[in-house]
Amino acid sequence: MSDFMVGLPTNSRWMEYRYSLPWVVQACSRCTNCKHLHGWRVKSHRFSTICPSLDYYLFDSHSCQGRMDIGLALASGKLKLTNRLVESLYQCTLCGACDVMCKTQNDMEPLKVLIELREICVLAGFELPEHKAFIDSINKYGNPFGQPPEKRYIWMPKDVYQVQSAEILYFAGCTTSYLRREIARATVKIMQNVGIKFKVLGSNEFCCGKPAYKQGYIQIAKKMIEHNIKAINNMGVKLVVTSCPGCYTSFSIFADEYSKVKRKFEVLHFSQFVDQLMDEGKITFEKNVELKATYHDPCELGRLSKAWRPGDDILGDPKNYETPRKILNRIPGLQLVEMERIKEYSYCCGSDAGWAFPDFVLRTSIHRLEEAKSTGAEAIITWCPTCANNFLHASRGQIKIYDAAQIIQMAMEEMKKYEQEFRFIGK
Amino acid sequence: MSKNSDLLENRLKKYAEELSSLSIPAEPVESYEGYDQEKHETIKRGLISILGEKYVSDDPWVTQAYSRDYSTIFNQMRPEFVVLPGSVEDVQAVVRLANRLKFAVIPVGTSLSATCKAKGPNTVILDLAKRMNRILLLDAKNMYAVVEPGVTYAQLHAEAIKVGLTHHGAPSSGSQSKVIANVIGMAAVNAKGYRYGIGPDNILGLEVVLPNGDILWIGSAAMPENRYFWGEGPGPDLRGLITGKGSYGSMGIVTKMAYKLHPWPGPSTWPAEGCLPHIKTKLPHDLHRCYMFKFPSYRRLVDALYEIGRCEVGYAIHSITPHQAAGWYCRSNKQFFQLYFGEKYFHKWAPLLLVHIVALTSRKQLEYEEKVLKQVVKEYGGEEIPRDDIVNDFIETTAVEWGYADVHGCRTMRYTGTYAPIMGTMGPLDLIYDVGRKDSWQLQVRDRYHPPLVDVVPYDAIIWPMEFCHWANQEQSVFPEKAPEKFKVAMDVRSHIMRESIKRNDPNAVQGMFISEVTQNLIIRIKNAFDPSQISNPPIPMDFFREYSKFKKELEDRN
Amino acid sequence: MTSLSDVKKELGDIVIDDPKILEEYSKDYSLSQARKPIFVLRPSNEDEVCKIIKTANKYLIPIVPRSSRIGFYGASIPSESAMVLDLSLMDKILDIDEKNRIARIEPGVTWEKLQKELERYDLMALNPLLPHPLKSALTSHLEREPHLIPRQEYKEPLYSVGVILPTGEKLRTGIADIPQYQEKFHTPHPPRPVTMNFRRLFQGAQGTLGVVTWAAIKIEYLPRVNRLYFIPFTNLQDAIEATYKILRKVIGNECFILNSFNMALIIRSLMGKPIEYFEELRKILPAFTLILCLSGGRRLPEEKIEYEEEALMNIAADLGFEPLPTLCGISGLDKLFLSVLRKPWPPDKTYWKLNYKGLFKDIFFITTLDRTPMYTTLMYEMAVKHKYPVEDIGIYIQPLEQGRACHCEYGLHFNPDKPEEVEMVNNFFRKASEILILNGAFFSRPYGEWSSMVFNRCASYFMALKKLKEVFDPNRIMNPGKLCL
Repeated sequence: MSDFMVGLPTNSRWMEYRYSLPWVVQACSRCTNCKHLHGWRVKSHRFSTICPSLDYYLFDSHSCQGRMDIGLALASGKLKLTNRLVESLYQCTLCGACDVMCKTQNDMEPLKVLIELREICVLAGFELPEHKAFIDSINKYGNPFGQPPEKRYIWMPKDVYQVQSAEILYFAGCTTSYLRREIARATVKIMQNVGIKFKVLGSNEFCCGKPAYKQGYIQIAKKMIEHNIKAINNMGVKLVVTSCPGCYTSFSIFADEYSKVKRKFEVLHFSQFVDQLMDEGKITFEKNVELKATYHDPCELGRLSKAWRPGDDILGDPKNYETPRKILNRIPGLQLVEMERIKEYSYCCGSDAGWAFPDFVLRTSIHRLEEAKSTGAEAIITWCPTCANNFLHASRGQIKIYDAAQIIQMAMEEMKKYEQEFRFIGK
Repeated sequence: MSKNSDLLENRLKKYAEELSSLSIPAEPVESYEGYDQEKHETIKRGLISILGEKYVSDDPWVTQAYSRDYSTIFNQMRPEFVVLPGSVEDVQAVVRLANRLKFAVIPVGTSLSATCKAKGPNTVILDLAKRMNRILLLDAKNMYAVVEPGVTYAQLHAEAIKVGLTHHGAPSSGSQSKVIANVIGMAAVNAKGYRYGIGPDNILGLEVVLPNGDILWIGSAAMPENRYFWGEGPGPDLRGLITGKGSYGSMGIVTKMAYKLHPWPGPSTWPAEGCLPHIKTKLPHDLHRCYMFKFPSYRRLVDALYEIGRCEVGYAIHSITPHQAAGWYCRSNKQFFQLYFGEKYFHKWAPLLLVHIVALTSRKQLEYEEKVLKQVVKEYGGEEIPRDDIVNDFIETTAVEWGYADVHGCRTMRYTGTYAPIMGTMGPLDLIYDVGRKDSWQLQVRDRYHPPLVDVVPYDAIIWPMEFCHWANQEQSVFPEKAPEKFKVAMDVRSHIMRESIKRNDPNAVQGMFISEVTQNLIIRIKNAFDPSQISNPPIPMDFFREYSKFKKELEDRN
Repeated sequence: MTSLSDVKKELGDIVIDDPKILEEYSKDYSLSQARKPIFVLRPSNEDEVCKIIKTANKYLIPIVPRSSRIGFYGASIPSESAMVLDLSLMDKILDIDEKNRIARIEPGVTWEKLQKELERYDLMALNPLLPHPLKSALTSHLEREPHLIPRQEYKEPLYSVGVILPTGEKLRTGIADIPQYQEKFHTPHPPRPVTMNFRRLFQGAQGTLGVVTWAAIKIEYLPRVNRLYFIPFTNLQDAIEATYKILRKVIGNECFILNSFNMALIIRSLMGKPIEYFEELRKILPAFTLILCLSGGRRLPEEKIEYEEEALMNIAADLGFEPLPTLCGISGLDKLFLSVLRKPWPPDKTYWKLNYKGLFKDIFFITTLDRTPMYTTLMYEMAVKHKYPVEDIGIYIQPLEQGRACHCEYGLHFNPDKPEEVEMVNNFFRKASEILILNGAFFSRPYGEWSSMVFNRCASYFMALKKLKEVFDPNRIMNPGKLCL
């Protein structure tokens, strides 16, 4: 007998992972890590789960593992799609927490499977009426809210000016533009305050495609992002800054993988942009913001903000966990306390499941706010308009909700006047 | 739309083809022999009347999610129903219904085990973890906690360390496993067994719903005050009814359990650092230390273990295999195959002994134990593995798990998709040595199947010393590539060892096969007395006895 | 109709029917109602036990097993016309496995014999507090008598047992059931697929489920370097607080609490002093004493004692108590205790529990340490009500498993020749037991009168026990009437 006898797998994919739905669903070993916070991160019994879908719907079919099983059965022909099964597949926020926990132990991309299962539902002709409605709206109005495109930028303050020649474009995103305009206002005021010249797409700005992508409408998502990239390319900008992490990952990850049109610009989330400005000394905080607050890591700005390779030391871009905290910690008077589930293991706000399952989203947001309140914080700060929107609906005034841009604005001196070029008045 | 249908059809066809070589998923319930639609409806009505529609499901996608164990290879069957009881009364009512309508009930917690799965029609899985998941009591002074079935090791650990306590230790399936299910079903073996024994050694009072629907409180919980602090009695200790090895609910469903907690000198929140998956734990060096010792031979390692046990130093100790070391440590398959197979890095550690010491009394105690430990290791020819980057990293990311909170055990399944236990032994260390050394006939059988089994062999088997080395536990697994024909090879190894064991009259590797008929018959009689309708996770344990008898008869016939 | 002569013919020489001997077996120190057995059977090996059980089943004659040559709780007094199975002739130490620190003993092996033999190997079994030298070590383990070392790692020293079932079949528990091992290997748990741990079922069963013919027990290293401390307390609450802290820090080996009565009685009895010495001594001894033995390890023993001592002194400083090498200036008290801590009571001295008024009744149960002051207060109140002198209650508290629980024992002493005293103590015993049970004291070993008191209150447990009994012993020949079975 030789010293060592080596038997390697005959299927090379065990040695070097490559995604396919069948591969991932059969590789699932039912370890259950997808349902629970990583053991070393658990700080209490109360806040130790990680899957909003399982927490609300309870049956394992609503966990990542359960959906891998469903995927296995569907792909093997042992299960047929029905309206109710499709509903249960959509009862998930796609926050990716399960994906993170799974990747801690396995070379797998279960989140991709979850999205692909939705894609399969759409291809098979199963559409939830609520999804059909917002997809129709995207197709017709370029946003999921059924709002006219000319109203997209009516939030723009009269005293904020665009600069034609600016190389920076502000991409507000649909939620910011139509539902959480205060975030957009705060953002542009900050940029103007520090002398940043920027412009906007205006009513030519379409939905980034992320909501469509997440509900399985891949082609529509592609159409949207390609439109935006083309439009932005034509404006000759070098940098796009967005308030919305969903838009950010749509441009930086989804587009890179799916869009035929390649972007000629960099894209940053506003938090990253502020960080840069602070490093350059352009942003300083002069005013006290007396507040005890906790920071909620948005999924798209956190664990989903970076494409993954097996063996990656980190899940998500660690800068995106540290940067918001670094910024907030610099604000005088602001006392930042941490929740138990943060960073790459943050608990979702409910995200985009609200199209069809508003109760589920509400319960999820309420649970997250309970966690925020348990820290003794008076406020929860986030850097995502969807998170802010969900929290606002859930809080009922029990805890203050802020976007970080609002906090930054509070900490800065009054807006300085600077040279006028033009004021955007919409189309 | 038709373009979409074509796209979808082609895609699904391709997927089915790809899956056919990797997995054998469950068939629809209606196709199971003995399925009766009318009975199904009757059971459904009964369950809904007890639990309400919200907590009862026979949807095929729901039952599909409970059809599988850690492999997708064999024996995948969907239950007819999955129900979510919310209280012991719910469980009781379901069990009584099962007795009336004659269906099987199987309790699940984490549901990792192959044994807690449907094995035919008329099966209801009780998912106890979803609504019965509270820590009912944590008595810091008297060091125990009362938990419901849904409580995980991680949750219990997090709450216990706040008050300076810890539990016996998570198993290698990980700290996301449910305490009750793991302890009752799997016996929960880990490195802290060196001090605290195995899972069933840590059970105090219990609340059990018996197969006939009666509630049995065991230990001090039996008395009217219903305190769970002690497990023995009154009179004969009825924990013995369910705490053998692997009862899996066959003698009743545990709905509350008091679990021992032990002193924990350490931070009150777990000091993890870094970003997943590269997460480290840096425990205070003056309270916790971890050593990795290599010995010139397995024999010397075992001899050293004996002496370490006699000296009663150490907190958590076990001997691990290179595969286990690599499996837990590596953070991707690519890294694993490169380090383990390519560079054979971990083999230079073997035979490896991992020792944790903890300042249970004081820092001086830590220093004393370190001194004694190093003295013993030196005497038996061992040495500390030189610290390189991997060793340093290993200690903080992996070795620390085995002393305290196992979290990455499931990594061992990622490299080939599955594993298969081929033998398990309990007994004195010398016995463990005899069967676990790499040139034992049992492991030579294992080695003959490489390839196609995936591994680098030969290596000696894992050892978990128990209770200061009064006895020890050992398991050995093989790692087939996840595909039906490859998994079959793993089963062949197991069968080969079983047959050879009978031929050689050597019980060491498959001790359960050699259990006397007296014991078997007694178990069956007790089982029949408590579960006359055979509704509690049938056919356990009769199926094991039948499997073993089959082997014995085969050989007898051949002779 | 059973012909006793048939039984005698079948069993031969092992049958004893001498009336004088039968009389001896009709009673013990418990004052349980005397009942003469039909026969006394004295087998000397397992096969004879098998034969006896089969015969008993054949003729439906109850069997009462007995291992100790002395009894304090009435366990071996037959409650129906029965045969007493005296296992004391089976007194071999079958095996001492030094390497794995396990000893296998027959029922007749006394503590005296066992500890003496083990000492030769620098080993010891885990004995209870000063057991009677004639007490069976196997019975102590079977009955879950608490031992003196509350270390978590020393818990449950009984590993496996060999049993003759009421059907006459031989059963072994754990891996000892595997015939190829020839009873050489022992684990406290069975291998898969044995889903039940039979060892646990036979513990505390008082012979109602079968006759244990051998037991494999854990034995431990006998520390040669020891330092014994007496820690005086004026009240039990403080003693308990100190005990919690000490045991949480895993300090020491033997650790237990005695009140002044028990301390004085033990000291007096060990020293062979007159009763007056005892009366004087108990007045000056502290109300409660925590006895703690620091023991050296196998290697560097002094260093181990040093760090434990330092830790102990730190706790002492925090809580304001003082560990002392002696009490009341008694010279060599630590050495005196050390000489008996790991041994049974010296056979040449009157057994300490009998050395006050001649006889005693113990009330003992399991509880948590923090409740012992409450139970002690209750006992005092009951004592006053029953006119039993409070100062004559012996208190022994044995922490278990690092202090997670404790064995709490109250000794009541009386003159057996004074019927009124006997009656008073019996009444007090009964009433106190009821009150204690009502207040949550857990009588895990429900001997004698306790069995109905306990099982009346735990119907579900009792029903399960009955079911088990029906499986094991359908003919109800094994010690019927015990444990209400």
